[in-house]
Amino acid sequence: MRNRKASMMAPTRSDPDALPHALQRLAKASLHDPAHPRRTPLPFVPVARAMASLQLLKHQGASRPEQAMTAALALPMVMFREEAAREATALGAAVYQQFLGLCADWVDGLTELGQDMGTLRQVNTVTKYVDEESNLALRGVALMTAQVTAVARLMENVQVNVAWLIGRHATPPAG
Amino acid sequence: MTVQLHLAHSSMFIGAGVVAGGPYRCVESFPTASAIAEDAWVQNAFFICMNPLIPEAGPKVPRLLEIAQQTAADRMIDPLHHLKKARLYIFTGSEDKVVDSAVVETTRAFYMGLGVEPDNILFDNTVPAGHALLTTNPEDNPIAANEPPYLNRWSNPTMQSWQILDHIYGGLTPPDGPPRGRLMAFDQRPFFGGDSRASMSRIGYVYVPLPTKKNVRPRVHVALHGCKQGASYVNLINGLPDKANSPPYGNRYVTTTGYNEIADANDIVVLYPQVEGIDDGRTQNPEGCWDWWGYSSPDAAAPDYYSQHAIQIRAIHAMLLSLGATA
Repeated sequence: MRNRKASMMAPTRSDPDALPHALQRLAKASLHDPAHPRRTPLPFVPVARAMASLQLLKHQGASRPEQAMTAALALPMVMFREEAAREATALGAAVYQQFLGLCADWVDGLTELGQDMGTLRQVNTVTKYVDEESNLALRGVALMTAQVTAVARLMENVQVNVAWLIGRHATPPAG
Repeated sequence: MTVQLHLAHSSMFIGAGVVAGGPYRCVESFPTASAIAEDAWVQNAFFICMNPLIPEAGPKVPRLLEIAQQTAADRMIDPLHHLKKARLYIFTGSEDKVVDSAVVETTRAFYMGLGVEPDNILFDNTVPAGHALLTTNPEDNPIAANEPPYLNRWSNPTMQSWQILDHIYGGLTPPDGPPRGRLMAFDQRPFFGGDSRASMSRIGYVYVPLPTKKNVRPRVHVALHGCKQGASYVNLINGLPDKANSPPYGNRYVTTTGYNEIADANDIVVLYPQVEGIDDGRTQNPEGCWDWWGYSSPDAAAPDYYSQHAIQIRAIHAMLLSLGATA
């Protein structure tokens, strides 16, 4: 990705061959490239994206039922054990702590963003104004993305740990 | 990775320094996490071997001991009796939020379960450090940070690398100034065949000290960098390498962590093999980590990352042989 920012040091492009060369690169990207066999030609990108989503569904379909099955089969054997109850309580507390951490990140991120939005900077050109406003918007999106990713990770963490803990109680390791 | 390399070729090493690392084949703790093997290994890596929500959800030593014993019986690693006299430095910062200290404690328990003499293990979990190798450099991160380049400064007057090597080798001479030897770059590709599956960089480094004593055969220490610490690692922004702005963290690992200084004073050659971030659909290693969960294995269902057959371990072994190392 070429970033074309408002920095004083950002190079301009004015050579007459720039557009024809860019169009050549576009045409080349539309064909199969033997040097990058995993890169999908542009016309087939929608198909590749759909395939990627299907692959994720397939992987999730392989993980979640497996973990649920492990937990479900073991649950009757462990649900009345004192140790299991203690671990469940500790797990709940750990999840709550991580949830509070996520909330703290959210508050910190919004505070920092708000402070930056309220900081009066000098702007002499429209270019710089647009750049600064875009940066703020992008940082908001980045904060949102980081939070969503962290929540997804915590959910996966809980799923894997619960299945592992319950399954292990049902079949304790040797030794 | 350090633990996998150590066990794979334990006859070659007199010890190992493990900074914030989990036990051998940790990701195979809960193989039924997914019906798809590579998913199971990654889920184990994240949620059991790095961040179990509670210590009880971490790796279990008896299972990993069984696995190690079976691997040795299958002759995929050196016989485990070589480990009995091994000297181990195992460290976890009490503020580490990347690899939980409870996991690193199982690394100690794992080695003890293999029969390593307790007096040979220096285990330290008392320093309020984040996930990092500790230095005395003023430009490095504060002690409790959990951020790249994962080099934090502590108040101790010596580098952590000096403590690691002093524990492993014993009785080392403290450095008396800047290193006088030569830091050399070398082409790593002949050692891994240029295969992108290895996720190894084109260039590796080796520090060769000026000999301090005549007729002394130098020792070789392998310094494995951590995730995001390789010389050519470039941070990702929105999934793309930020080549315009990323500082070369790896040079800091190779030149500022103190290994060269302590090596210089004690006739130790330091080998710095390098991996780099690759995430191309074939090799999933975006953060440039050494392989401890199987991304470099040709067959995810039958991984080999822990054995003498592993592409990275084979490469490092070949580098050691070319430096004149013997078993």
